[in-house]
Amino acid sequence: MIDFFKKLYALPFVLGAWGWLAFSGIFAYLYFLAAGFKEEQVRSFLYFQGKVIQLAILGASAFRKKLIRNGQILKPSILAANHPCAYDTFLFFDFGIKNLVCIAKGWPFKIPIYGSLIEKAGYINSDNKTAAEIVNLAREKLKQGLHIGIFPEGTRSSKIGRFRSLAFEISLKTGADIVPFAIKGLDKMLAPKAFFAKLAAVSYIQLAPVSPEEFYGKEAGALRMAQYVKSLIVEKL
Amino acid sequence: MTREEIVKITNDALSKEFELEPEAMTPDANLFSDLGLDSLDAVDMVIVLEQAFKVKLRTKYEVGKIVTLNDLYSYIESLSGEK
Repeated sequence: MIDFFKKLYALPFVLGAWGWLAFSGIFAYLYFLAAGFKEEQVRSFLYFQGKVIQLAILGASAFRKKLIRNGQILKPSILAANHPCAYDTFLFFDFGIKNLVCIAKGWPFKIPIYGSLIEKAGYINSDNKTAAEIVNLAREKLKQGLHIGIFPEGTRSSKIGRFRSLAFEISLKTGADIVPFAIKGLDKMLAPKAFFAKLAAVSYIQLAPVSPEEFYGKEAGALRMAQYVKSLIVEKL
Repeated sequence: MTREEIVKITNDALSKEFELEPEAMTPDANLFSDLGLDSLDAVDMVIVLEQAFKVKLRTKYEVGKIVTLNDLYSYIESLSGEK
């Protein structure tokens, strides 16, 4: 019964969020179709769109959303977070990170309108690419001054899963720091595969950057770095 | 080293390092489609197994030919026979 009321409370915010995603997406897509898709402008739009989604999450949490910062991210870095919920994608925007592209599997790119927008914003589709190709694409983005967002688990899960090595391989190959983020409570709001969100407290925690330097020359360095960063995130959950 | 010992050491190393579920680690399990490893994991897997068995795996075989856990056990068994 309590669960029902929690869902009822969150419903207007969820409907608002999905409505906003759909209508702002269609409007922006038509605008860019007419004006031309410029990567930076599309990224600015996605940032604005994500900020509004974060407002909806703030509402759905009954203003129990905490944002814990850990200094400014001064150089282009790899932002790695756990992946408990579909709303995670919008996490980095809440920290004011605008110059961002994410690495994602193919399916978000297939979402009508949204998929085209993230593609035009320069997001990296990891499907059908080798690790070396993804590292090279990520290197180019970092050189352009962009951060790379990635969810090393790959698949949403309320129980934190294995961190795959790709993000850490990029870090080791490019020298970019990993900035870990812990997402807490968002899976309570919208569990993986659930359709209806419900009232729940949420915390986003930014951790201190991890330099690849201490993993250079280590056997299975990317794997060790993945395990280390995961342990830092798990500590905060 | 017996086949059973090889299976145990391999499974222990892989389940610890790659957080694989022991019940999913059947001999016929495909390393990639069933256990969810990827090409980067394959590189790390070789290193992890080298450390576990104290043998060089990289120079003697094309690792890409190993598809199932059974292939992996047989390969390690063939190396331990050469020692």
